[in-house]
Amino acid sequence: MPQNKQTTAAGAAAKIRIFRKNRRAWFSLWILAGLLMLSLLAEFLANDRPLLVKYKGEWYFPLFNTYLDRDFGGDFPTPADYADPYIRKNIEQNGWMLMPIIPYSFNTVDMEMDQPTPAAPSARHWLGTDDEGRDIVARIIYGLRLSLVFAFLLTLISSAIGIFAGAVQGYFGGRTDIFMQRFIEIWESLPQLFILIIVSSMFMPTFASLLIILLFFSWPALTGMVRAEFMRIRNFEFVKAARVLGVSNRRIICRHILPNALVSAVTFIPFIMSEAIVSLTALDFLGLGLSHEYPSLGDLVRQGKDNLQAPWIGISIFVVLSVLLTALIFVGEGVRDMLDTRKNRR
Amino acid sequence: MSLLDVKHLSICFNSANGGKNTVVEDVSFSLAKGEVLGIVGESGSGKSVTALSLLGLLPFPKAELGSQSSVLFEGKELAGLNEKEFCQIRGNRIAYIFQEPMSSLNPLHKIEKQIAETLVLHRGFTEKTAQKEVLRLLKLTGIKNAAKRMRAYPFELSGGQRQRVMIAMAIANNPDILIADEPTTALDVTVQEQIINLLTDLKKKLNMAIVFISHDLTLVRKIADRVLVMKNGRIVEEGGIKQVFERPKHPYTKELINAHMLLKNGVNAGAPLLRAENLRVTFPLKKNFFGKTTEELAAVDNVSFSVPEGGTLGIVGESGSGKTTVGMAIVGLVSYKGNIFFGESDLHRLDKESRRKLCKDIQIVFQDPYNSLNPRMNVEEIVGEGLLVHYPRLSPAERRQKILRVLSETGLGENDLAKYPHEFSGGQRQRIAIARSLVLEPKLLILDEPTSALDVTIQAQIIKLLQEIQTNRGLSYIFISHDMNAVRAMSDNIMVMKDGKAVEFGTVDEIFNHPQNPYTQKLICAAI
Repeated sequence: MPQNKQTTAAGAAAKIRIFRKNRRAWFSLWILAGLLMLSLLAEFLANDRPLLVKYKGEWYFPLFNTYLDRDFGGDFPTPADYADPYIRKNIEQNGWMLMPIIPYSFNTVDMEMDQPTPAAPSARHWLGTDDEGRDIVARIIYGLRLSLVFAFLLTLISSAIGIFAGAVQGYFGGRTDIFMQRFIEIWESLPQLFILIIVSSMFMPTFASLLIILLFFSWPALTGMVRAEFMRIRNFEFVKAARVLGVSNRRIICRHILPNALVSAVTFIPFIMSEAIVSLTALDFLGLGLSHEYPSLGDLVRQGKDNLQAPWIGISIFVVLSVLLTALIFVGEGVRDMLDTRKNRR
Repeated sequence: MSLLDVKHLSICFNSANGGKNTVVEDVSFSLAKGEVLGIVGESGSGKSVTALSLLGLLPFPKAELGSQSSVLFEGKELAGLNEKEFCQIRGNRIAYIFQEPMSSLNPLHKIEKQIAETLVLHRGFTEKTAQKEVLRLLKLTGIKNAAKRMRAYPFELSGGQRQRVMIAMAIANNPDILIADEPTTALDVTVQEQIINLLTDLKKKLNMAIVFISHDLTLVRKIADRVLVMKNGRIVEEGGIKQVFERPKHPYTKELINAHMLLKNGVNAGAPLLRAENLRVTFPLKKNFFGKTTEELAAVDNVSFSVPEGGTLGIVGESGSGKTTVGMAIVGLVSYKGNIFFGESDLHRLDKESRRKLCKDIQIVFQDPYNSLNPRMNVEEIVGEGLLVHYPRLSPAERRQKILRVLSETGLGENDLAKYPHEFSGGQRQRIAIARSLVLEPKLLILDEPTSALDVTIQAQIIKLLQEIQTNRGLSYIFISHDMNAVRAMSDNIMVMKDGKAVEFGTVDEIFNHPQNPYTQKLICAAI
């Protein structure tokens, strides 16, 4: 009797138990969660503005509001520079201010350093500075956030498009399938790198435009698999039963096939995400990606390459990238094993 | 002295969470030379595990033999032998035939090579000398054109032929015992008959003992001398074939035997509800460059029939006869040529919207209850889906009431609403599937082999349930099956199909008592 794999909502608790048993994946998930939390709190950890200022009996919240130089006894109607010794002296005489642990933002250039840039690690800059005198820890924290958010958005949107396309192809089959399949084949054979070079030579890519360009090429990743799953499941008897009941196509796709077809797609998502991080880093490294205003990890890799005499740049970014990507791959493996019914049967 | 003596055999499996699951408990039996012992029971009764344990084929160390267990083969203890010692016996002294002839042959090797393998291994043939012996064995199993068939690959053979090859492999070393584990379950009725005859014949020629495992009582009755009835890992009854079948003692045995004796209570059928004229369904086999079909397979070929209101039409035939396709055409899952009239309306002429409305009136129950329920929906969602589509204005409370009403009609309760399909047994799942079809109050229910995937006693329960529903609701059925007993119990009229054509049509009495067509005669002969 052909029993198909039964993975149901009731089995969810069991699945999580299996995932937790895989110590490596479970540990990696915690590392990832920790990195994500850290980077989401970037503004509170690394910033050139104080978290809280008490000045002449009043409270100021420079993280959320921009205060002028004049507000703290300066002369200019420009935003206050809290690293300026004059302002700092003024505030400390009339109250106090609480700086974050790392008093630099990703784009803060440390003007008062007594070393040439790139500066070696010291108490002032834990991992040193890059060649423009910016703190590496701060850049890594902000860069992690950018990479994770970018990768997450890219994975989410491209998976959604890919799953939708695969669902339509697999469910309707026939001519729809043939035309879309040929289209995807042509689409996938477009030279992605050349197009990126052309686009970035025409204008400076921003976060949004780079996301859209990469989306163009990454969406077919899941299409083939979802298409195959749909072709398999649409012949199951419960789908036929739904059709006999007169259920509409949309409802059959969403309620009956998709939840069953998604299992294998979900397996791939951590891997797609690590791929997205790699491609963003690689483009930034080549100078085809985000402009220099962004704190990107790829930019740090490039600096590491350019400043071999300052190994702290290269080593820190290497460690960060390897931990991030390895953790993602381990989580991916954990998810894959968790959803593999054959493996769990043992 | 008997050939095989099994005493106090217990087997348990260690489950993943540390518990122990006893599947066979204190089973004792013996087998004499040249005797055929039938082991009967439902799936999960432990009959296959018992047989596998004789050959040490259980998945050790997950499986564990009880401490008292003893399997004496010609006075030699088999329980606890190591793998190497077992290999001396396996395939040589005791041979095994598996259920699924489709998957138990290696698809990449020719038949000849696969049979020769055991000859070379156990009897010291060389590959060249084995050839003659293989031919002799194949001829013994009655394969036509054996010399040519030797060089065939498994996929070139039919199910029956493959099972013959498996038998040839099993008897290659003149075993003393042949264990046949559901050897005919995957085959059509008429082929089953041939295999049984072959086994009986071989037993006489080679003087071997056979352990015949089956859930099918009629088959066991035909071949066995003695029978064991197993339930939940225990032997509940043992005895000579006549004694067990004619004077069963244990209530379970009685239930098993009665499951085959279900009879139809008369229903007064009314005017035709559904009429099909010259129904024809074809599938393209080859297409030319422009996508035009140049060769096609007629799955249903010019078939006409009618179903009376409140009555049942049974459609019988072997696999590939087109009986399922007829059902698919009526519910609109495949396109067809010809005419189907439901009441006054011609299904072909209806526009999309009225065809969709007609879904309420014609419903279908599928064969495989493991496949026909969405594993990610609970019972309430599964049964209520049709209501959502056709009565979107019902309030949740009204909907739930309707769902509960059909569930109680099919023998399920309120506490089943939130459960998911995997929490149910096969029979219960089939009840859910029936409830799903009934909730829309159809006039015609198509039952596509609703009992074939179920155990015998469960089959009987489902058939009883369907009969009750018919009497209460005045429903019409089209009952599609290859099981003659089930069809007899359900139908008023019967259509016999072969290769897409209707070969005979008549009332139950006409078909079963005076079959005209030779094919029908063969079918009935094989079933009874």
